[in-house]
Amino acid sequence: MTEAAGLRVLIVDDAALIRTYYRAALEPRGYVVDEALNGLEGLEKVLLQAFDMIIVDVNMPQMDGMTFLKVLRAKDLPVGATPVLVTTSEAGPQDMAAARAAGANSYLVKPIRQDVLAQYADMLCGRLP
Amino acid sequence: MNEFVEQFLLECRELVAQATDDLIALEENPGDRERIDSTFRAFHTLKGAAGIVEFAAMGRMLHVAEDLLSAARASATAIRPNVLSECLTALDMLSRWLDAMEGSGEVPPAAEAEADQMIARLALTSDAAPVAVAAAVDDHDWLETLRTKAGAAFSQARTAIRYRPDTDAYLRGEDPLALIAGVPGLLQIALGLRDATASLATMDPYASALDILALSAAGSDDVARALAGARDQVALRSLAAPAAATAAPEMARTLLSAQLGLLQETSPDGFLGRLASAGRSAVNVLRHVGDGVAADTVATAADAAIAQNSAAPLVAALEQALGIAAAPPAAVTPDAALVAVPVVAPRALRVDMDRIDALVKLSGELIVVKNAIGHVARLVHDGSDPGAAAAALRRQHALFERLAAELQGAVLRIRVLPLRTVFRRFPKLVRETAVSVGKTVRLLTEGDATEADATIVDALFEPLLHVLRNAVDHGIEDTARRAEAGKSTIGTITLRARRDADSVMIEIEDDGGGIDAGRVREVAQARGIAGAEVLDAMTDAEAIDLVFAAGFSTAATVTNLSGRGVGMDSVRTAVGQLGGQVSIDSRPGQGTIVRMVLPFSLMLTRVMTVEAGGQSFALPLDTIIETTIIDRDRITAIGAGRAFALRDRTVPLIDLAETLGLAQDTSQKPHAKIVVMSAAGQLGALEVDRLGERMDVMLKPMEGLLGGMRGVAGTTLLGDGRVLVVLDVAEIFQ
Repeated sequence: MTEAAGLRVLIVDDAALIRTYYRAALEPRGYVVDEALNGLEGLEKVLLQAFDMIIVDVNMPQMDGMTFLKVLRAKDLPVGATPVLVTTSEAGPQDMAAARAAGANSYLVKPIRQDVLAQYADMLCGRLP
Repeated sequence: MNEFVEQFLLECRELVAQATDDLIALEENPGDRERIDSTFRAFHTLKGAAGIVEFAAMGRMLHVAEDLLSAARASATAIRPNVLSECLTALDMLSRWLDAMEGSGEVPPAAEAEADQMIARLALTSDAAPVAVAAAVDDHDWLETLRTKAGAAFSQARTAIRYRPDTDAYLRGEDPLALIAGVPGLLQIALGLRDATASLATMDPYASALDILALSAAGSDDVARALAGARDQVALRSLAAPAAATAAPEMARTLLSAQLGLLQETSPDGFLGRLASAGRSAVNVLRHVGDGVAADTVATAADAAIAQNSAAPLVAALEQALGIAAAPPAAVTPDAALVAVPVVAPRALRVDMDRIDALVKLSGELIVVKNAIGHVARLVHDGSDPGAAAAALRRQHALFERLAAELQGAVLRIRVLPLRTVFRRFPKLVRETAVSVGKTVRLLTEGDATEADATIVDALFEPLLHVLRNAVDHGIEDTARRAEAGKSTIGTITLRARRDADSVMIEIEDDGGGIDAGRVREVAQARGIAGAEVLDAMTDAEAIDLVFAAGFSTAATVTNLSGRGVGMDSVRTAVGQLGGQVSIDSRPGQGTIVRMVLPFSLMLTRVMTVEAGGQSFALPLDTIIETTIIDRDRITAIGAGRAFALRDRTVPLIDLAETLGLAQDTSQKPHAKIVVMSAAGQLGALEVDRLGERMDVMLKPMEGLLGGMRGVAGTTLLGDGRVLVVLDVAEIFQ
């Protein structure tokens, strides 16, 4: 397996278990994972260092995922261009449309299998085959 | 058991403790918004945790509780005590489950039944916040209904669907059942009524009363995409099995399409960020699947798009990438709502494995025949009995002929698409047209699963749109006039299709005022299409057919509504180019039917050759009923024409040579060779000099200056290089 050496992923989710779960899906494949507990913390991290991809939950305290995404997209490039995967337990078409309008590159409904998450990360980060 | 159980238990206990604190505080002070938010979030996080360890019962129960809390959160009033107490009970139950799990490491087996009881109790708090709780109860109920109804199928389902069409869905031209039938991976449908007490007597047939439940094996993304047209009327629930990993090329297409979808968003806020992120994501996806060339193209396009502050270059590059990547074409078929790719003739076709297998099998059989013919050649070469060799060759030829026919059929079936691919675009267009002229019109479609050659299906959009617009604009009367005529104020247009042997029949029927033949005559005369005498001699049906004449509809139109009298002549031309025919049937006050008969496939036509006036012509075999030779004295003159009795029917007879202007005198021959044909539903017969052979030809329509030539369907090249004219029988009989 080619390692995704150096590819950096930020997980923004208020649930520690979910963050651990995602981390466990990505780290064995060589991703460098960082975490944030809500949108606001996520923005702080994004402005300090570049990520190859951000996985963000929708429903979070302080700043929700949609707001985080809208603020991110309004940032100068290349920060504003970071690929974002939105994850949520809401599966309605209107939720997907809202995520797209906010600038999500992809959308997954929880619960998410670890191999699926890894596959999305490989694609959106452009991990070499 | 799951490697996350330990952390799951730890985190859940914390969340349960925190939510319990919050709920107790809320009992003291039910208006505390912060506490309600915090409780809601704890329940939400608990639900998410349940998904990680695959604890479905916990997820279900918390989902209902979460909905109650979500309603309380949205409501301005204080949270009701019974909601608080039931939520506390739910947390107690959850704590017991966590204890059990800590002991065994497994999901407690009793949890399913206990969750059901708890859900029922949560539902009973409905007097607290009627609307929201009703929804929560409902939510539980419909999933339960599906669970009961589907039985074993429920376990295969990944998405549960509840679709409650708005009462005016039909009036907007939506077809809820067709929409639900189009959901991928459909496992189960349960139809119900919104109001179970409704009776036939009180029901409004134009209002949708449906409550549709369904299960699909597809993921919620795919289901949502299929139902995007009715997104605000649909609720989806992801069921136990989460999305499985998909094959890389398929996922790459999904992601590339998603980037295209993102580029359709036009809001100026964050536009450049969205644009650049779509470009970057797409480049990454292409790199990951090893398509470096496409990745570079998209990267260049993305740079151009950013420089121009316009999505266009990137959209074009992504469309190209999607078109080239040879993968399941699901994503090529554009989905109006999520992937607004312009509709073009599909360059990629989705083909069933079975159809490919049929081709493989046939090519194998052809090789066997080839070998057998080689064997016969050897026999002849070795000087064996020519009679035996000829017999063997004939056998192989017969076999070869059968295989060639089957191969041709198999290839044709590959090019076939259901008419749904074009029909589904019309409900919205009809609705919009109707609104723009202030009418209420519903469009019903029938037989949209009927298949036809992909080229034909694609080319049908324009002519069908013309006819449908005319039906809305000129066919359906305005509301006042409909009311006056005692009709429903809602106009109905039916678009139906069916396969009829080698042709596809499409009808557009409206229940409007019909076409006034008198007005058609006036307009035709005013526009110099025909003189008064000719017009007077015409039957009403013939006169009405003049709406297809070039230059007929320009401004003022038959039914008085001015404006876009879209030329029906263009419809006849377009349908004719596809090798089809169009006719119109109208009854004053009752409506109009426009009927199109199209070939199933554009490729080959079976014809029979005949000779008349010293020349060869071909007649399409599908129009020929029989050939016969009759005594000339059985032919009688009727008016200006001739006819003969065929069994118990009188059939009009036309001398082909004479009709085509080839001088001919047949009167002294004792017998007449006759081809009996069926054209546009009528019997007719042609007298010819000689009956020839049957063959399959590739029909080439007449083009350029000869395009308008009546009576000629097209031409085909014969083996010796001569051009054979294939006659259009229906036009000859007109």
